[in-house]
Amino acid sequence: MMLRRAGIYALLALFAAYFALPLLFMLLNSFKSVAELQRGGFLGWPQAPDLQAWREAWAALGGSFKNSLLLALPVVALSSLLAALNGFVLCKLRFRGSEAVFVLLLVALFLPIKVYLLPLAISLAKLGLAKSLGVLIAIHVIYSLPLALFFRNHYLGFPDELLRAARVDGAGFWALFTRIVLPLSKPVFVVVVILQFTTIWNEYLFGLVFTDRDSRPVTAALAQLGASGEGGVRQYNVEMAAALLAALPTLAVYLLAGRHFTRGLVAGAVKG
Amino acid sequence: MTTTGLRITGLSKGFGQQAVLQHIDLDIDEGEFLILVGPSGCGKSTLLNLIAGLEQADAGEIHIAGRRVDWLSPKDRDIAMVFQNYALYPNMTVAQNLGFGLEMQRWPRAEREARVLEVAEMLQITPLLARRPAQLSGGQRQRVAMGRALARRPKVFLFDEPLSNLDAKLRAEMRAEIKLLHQRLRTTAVYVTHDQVEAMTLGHKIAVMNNGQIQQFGTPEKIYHRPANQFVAAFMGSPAINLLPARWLQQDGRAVLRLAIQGVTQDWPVQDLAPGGRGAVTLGLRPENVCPAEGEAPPLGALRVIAPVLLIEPTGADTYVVVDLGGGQRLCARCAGGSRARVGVPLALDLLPEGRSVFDANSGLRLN
Amino acid sequence: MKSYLERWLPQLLLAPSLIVCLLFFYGFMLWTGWISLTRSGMLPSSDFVGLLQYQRLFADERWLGSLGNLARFATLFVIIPLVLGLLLAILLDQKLRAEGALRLIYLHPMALSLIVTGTVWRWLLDPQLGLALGVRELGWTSFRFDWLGDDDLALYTLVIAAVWQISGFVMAVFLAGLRGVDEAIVQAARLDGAEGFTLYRRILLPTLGPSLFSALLVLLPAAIKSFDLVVALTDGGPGHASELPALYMFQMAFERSRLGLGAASAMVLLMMVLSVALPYLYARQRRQRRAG
Repeated sequence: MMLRRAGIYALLALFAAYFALPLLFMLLNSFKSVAELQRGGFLGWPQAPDLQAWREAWAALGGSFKNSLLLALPVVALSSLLAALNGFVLCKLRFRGSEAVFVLLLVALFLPIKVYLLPLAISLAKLGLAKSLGVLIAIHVIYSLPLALFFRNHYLGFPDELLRAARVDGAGFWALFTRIVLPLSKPVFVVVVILQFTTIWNEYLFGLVFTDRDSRPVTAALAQLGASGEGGVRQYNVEMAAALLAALPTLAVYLLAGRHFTRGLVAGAVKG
Repeated sequence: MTTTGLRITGLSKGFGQQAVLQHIDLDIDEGEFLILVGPSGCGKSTLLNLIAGLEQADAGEIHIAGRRVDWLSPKDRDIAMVFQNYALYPNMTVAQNLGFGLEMQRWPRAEREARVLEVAEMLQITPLLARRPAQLSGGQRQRVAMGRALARRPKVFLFDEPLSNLDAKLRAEMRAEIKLLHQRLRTTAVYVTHDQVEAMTLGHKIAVMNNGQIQQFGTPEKIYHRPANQFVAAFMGSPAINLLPARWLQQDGRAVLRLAIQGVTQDWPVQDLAPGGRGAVTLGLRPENVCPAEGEAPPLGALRVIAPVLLIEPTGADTYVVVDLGGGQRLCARCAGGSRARVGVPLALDLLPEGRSVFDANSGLRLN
Repeated sequence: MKSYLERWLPQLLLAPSLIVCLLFFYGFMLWTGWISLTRSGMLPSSDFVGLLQYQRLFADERWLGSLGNLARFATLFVIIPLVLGLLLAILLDQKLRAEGALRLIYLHPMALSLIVTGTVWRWLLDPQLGLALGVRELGWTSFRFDWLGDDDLALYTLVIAAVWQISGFVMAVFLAGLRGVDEAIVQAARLDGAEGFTLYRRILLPTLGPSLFSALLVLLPAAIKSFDLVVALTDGGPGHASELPALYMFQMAFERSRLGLGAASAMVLLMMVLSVALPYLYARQRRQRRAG
């Protein structure tokens, strides 16, 4: 029995190494200078830890970091509120065609939005819209519409009696939604907000195509940094620092609220 | 003629092919307490929802306090509802729950708070005002649910099986409270329940429902003592009424009911059936109208039978004795506590003519 | 009779979103399809050319190469995480004290952008400065790891990174499935004498069908859509050795100004994803209809 336990722990530790070491090494090596990296300092503590790499990383990514914030926060707020409304209406206000709308959204959930790059780009050109964060925000809110399915799923379990009581008490739709439904949706909101924030923060392609150099998000900047290093000596310490910087917000969210995150991911995959 | 509390004419509702309510007619005066009682699926909850305006009828009219309301939404009908699972808003305090309907009616804050206090006093829940529903016991929640309905001073109170979730003792207490409240407030009320004891004790008028139709509408006494059909007879009353198959015959110019007791036929002369009729009938006798035989001869109009005892059920005050009439028939008699009946031993019982019901065996309709 | 507004409220509220959805999800799909049937080059044109672009597409060595890459990538990207995820799930199901910490470690890659993941592994797999260097430092001085520069092996670097990213998620799905088994059934099995390996093989694993399905439903489309990782890790290189179809589509449409071809490749990508999603949705609808 003890042997089995030990064996299990050993295996788990092995895999934990596989999963954990990359970021740990990244952290470690971001404090080394390029010279030290080149001299063969992969393992081992930094000999003379310096923040040069971090400073350079921030110089390259700082602006885009702010852009990502300006992008993610509005998108998350708008798309989750909209999804809550749509999900609730779809679920509780029975009407002809609600099943059809549901199916439309469900299929849309699977559609790879990368394929819409072309028509979006052409539309933008035709409408004369310039690349900007505003455009990107709008695009992300639009393509987050299927998020409503999360809320719909959640509201299936919402007690009908509560809604009837509110109707009898004279609450109109908005009072019902804002005073009763939303306050009781905190759990699903947490999951959706975390999921959405992570998705939007980590998104690359649209962020690249629909912004210009000044308004691009941090993923685009990071990719640019990596690409610019090709050919010459790659400044991995800067790249590591930059990658960590880009990963910080979503990692922090995960560490703080990881349980809800996983539950949300799994629930999202096992769509009811 | 008083302002009619609630009048319903020709109300019907179906879901797809299913007819859930068929041509319902009801009329109660203002201040009366109407009970809708029946088994699950009889349509009583649907009827309540229609009165409330939570669902729309396919046909018919509803009038509340003389005003036609069937096209109005719930908030315009001046009604309030108490739900089975209380339906208290979990994210609000008791005070906010009580005042929510008033908020929706745009009452100014001061008046709202005054009214909430008033209602809380009435229901003795003032110390609970700052709490949330999750912190309350079942009985307390029920009071808050009632308070929420009371706060709006509606024309009609609607109760949707409000006591089903409480344990027996609490249920009895709350029943008494509801009755006292109603006596005090005199507001028209419609109360749905499947518990016929609640129906009998609470209502001025009872509508017994089955299969989307009203089987009988009347006072508790009428429904109990003169059930309109076999269903009503069997549904109301605990322990259940005795139903025995019999034949209605004419003998020597008189009507008799022919019963088979332990393989032997016995004829019971009856006076209250239409002259000259005959056919298969069902005889309905409540246990309290079947007594242990006393004296040499049965009382006037009664039928004496002797049958072996099958079961004895003492309930403290009364003892119910079930005898075997043969052919799968049983008869339940109410005896005084301390009856000397013994299982297996034949017991003499008198079937009294008072409260006797005779139903047509096919249609179930009352004949006498 | 409810007021006009009340009767149509649901539809009114949903209408804007619905219109947007129809337009941007489905309308654009049709539009892309249309473009793929035209002569569009640098600018969209309206000359209908039938399946010309598709013919060009499937005559392109580079495209066929990317499809081959996708096949190999997807196979490994599905199988390895499934096995690894299942193994980890079974191990973690043992109610260990370190479970919380371990879950955190296994799952954190999911919080990262694929650009970050690609960047990390680009460095780790660097022949001179990455893990290979670390191994050499440990004493094995002749160790070489140059998959990134190898035409045949570069693709598999993508597999290493992608597996690292997603295995935690698959583990979470399986773990949820294992934990979802009614405790009473497990107890009954234990009473019947099933233990350890047998318990898993005969009782618990067979219930993981739905979990497997869910995992596949995420893994397959993810493989087909892979783009960010390729950009950050190999950029399709060396040459086009590790290119995947999504990258091809982007480059054709945006960098090579061949809109028609790009659109055609986009439509093929779409078909591939739909071929996974639609059967699932259809089966689901049938199940609902039968149950409802």
